[in-house]
Amino acid sequence: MDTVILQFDDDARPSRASASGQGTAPSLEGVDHLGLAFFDVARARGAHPAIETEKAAFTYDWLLRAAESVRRYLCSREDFAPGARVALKLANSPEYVAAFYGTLLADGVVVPLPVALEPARLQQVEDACRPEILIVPKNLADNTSDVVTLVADTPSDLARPVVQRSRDDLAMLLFTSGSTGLPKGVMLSHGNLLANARAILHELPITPDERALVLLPFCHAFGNSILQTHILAGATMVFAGALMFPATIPQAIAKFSATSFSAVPEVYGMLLKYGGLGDQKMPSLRYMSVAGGGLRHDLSLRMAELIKPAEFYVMYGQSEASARLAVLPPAELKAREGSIGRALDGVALAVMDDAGAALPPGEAGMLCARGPNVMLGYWQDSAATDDVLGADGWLRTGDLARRDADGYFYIEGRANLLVKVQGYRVHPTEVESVVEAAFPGVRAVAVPVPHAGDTRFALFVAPQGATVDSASVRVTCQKALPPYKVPLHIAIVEELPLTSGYKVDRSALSERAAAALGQPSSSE
Amino acid sequence: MALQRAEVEAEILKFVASRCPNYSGLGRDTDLLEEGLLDSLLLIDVIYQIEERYGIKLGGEHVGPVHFRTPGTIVDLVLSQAAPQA
Repeated sequence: MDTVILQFDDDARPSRASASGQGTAPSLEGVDHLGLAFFDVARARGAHPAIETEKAAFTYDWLLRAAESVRRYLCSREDFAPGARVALKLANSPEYVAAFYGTLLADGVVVPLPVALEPARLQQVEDACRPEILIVPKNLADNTSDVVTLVADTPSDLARPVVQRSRDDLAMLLFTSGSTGLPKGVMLSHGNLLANARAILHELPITPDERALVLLPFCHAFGNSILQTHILAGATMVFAGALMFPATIPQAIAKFSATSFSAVPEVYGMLLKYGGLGDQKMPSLRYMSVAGGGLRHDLSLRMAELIKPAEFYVMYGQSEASARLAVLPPAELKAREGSIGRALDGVALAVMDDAGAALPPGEAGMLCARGPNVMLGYWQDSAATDDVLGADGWLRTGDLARRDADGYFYIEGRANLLVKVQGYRVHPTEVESVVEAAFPGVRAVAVPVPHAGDTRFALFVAPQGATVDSASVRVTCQKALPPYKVPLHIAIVEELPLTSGYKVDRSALSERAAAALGQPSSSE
Repeated sequence: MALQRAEVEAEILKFVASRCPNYSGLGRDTDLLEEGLLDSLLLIDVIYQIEERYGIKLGGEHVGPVHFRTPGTIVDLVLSQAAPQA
């Protein structure tokens, strides 16, 4: 795998965009290649800002030429052919956006990765999908890295590239935690991503003059969905502020006249506590949205109240469905307590029993989804694909839900062990296997525990004759795992509690961890 | 009883160090942001620790880079917020 870095051409520093911009985004009717859809929008929007940061503005014209620089580089490589994987280990940046669409325009497949991905996980992804090229930030380059200069020699009157791939071809491989803990590559086609973006553009007020403050990482399904909708709308994305410091979010919204903001529930928890939402006026704001986990109903209501007259959208989605599946119209928020809303345009949602028969309103069962946004399957894993994706096209989401008589859905819980931490799906095995490998013989059980309005892991380790102490378990976890997977609470126990079915009683362990941390255990 | 700076500093340093085992030489003036040590999870936990341990309630104006840049500035924050009740 060759590493490649992208750098800006110093002579062609992005110029200030003209605020007036150019024509509206073109109709994408009949376009079935996401790269070409980007190309058409970017050409039509020209001098309109696509991206603004604290330092500069980048127009659609610049972005189009930057993507073309990436496309030309890829096509110039002898080892590059349509369908080749290109991994992006980049933070949200103009470089990421240029690399994403440049790869698609070259008919490659984008594999977005977190910029801080742990080496063991990167190796798993590399083993799984064998990308020839890994695009990284400058500080991760070595002296064998190729350097691609963005925009440099790219003419401004570009011809629309001739592409080979189309609607049903793979565009993106999104690695996520599967039900076994190993990464699974969610295969999303050009058609999947286009269909989802169109459905959201139909449902949300994303107009060409929208200016979205974007802090969700693009390597995350929700963040990627924000990228696609805003680019296809010909809108502007603002990269400013920091999720870590909540008060910077309303400040950035005010400073950049942002019209929208989207985030996972944990961020809204922090925003409500430390964001200074009441103090900072945000006259430009039109809406905020939450997805990637359930935000407690009372917190959703408080957010809606605090940002008035802007609206608050509760949404629901899954990587396997190019992200978003359902939306709750803001006007229904009060009346439909805890609802994730109704199916997006073009998507069918149903609650089914184990046999795949639809259940009547009020009865809880597996939430299933069908539509043009549902993935092609998991990368080279037909067994896992068959587990969730039926021949009839219904995707089993893994969430238990019920539907009311008006077609609004409510999540009741997860049918498997996956835990959502900061919007990321993590299987307990990912934590357990690290400890069991480092201390042979022990049995490790990771369970979710509520902490400071967030969900984290607690870890219980039964030595089973081996020698182990909690301090060394902690160090092992910290070395091998990213912070959000590191257990907050670690305890060595002689015996693990068992259920009546002689399985480890994970909920009893969750309660024990919550008690140890001094938290109420029944948060959600 | 007023909080003692030395005691608070030792506790904050110990807490941050326990969460950054791969970083040696953490001191009161280490720039947690520049060194990439502070992420949103550590921040949540430091806030939680401060609020629980010292009985302080932090507001939005406190959770910013000014107060969380170094262990020293975190200690300053704790002492300044604890002062009125001391």
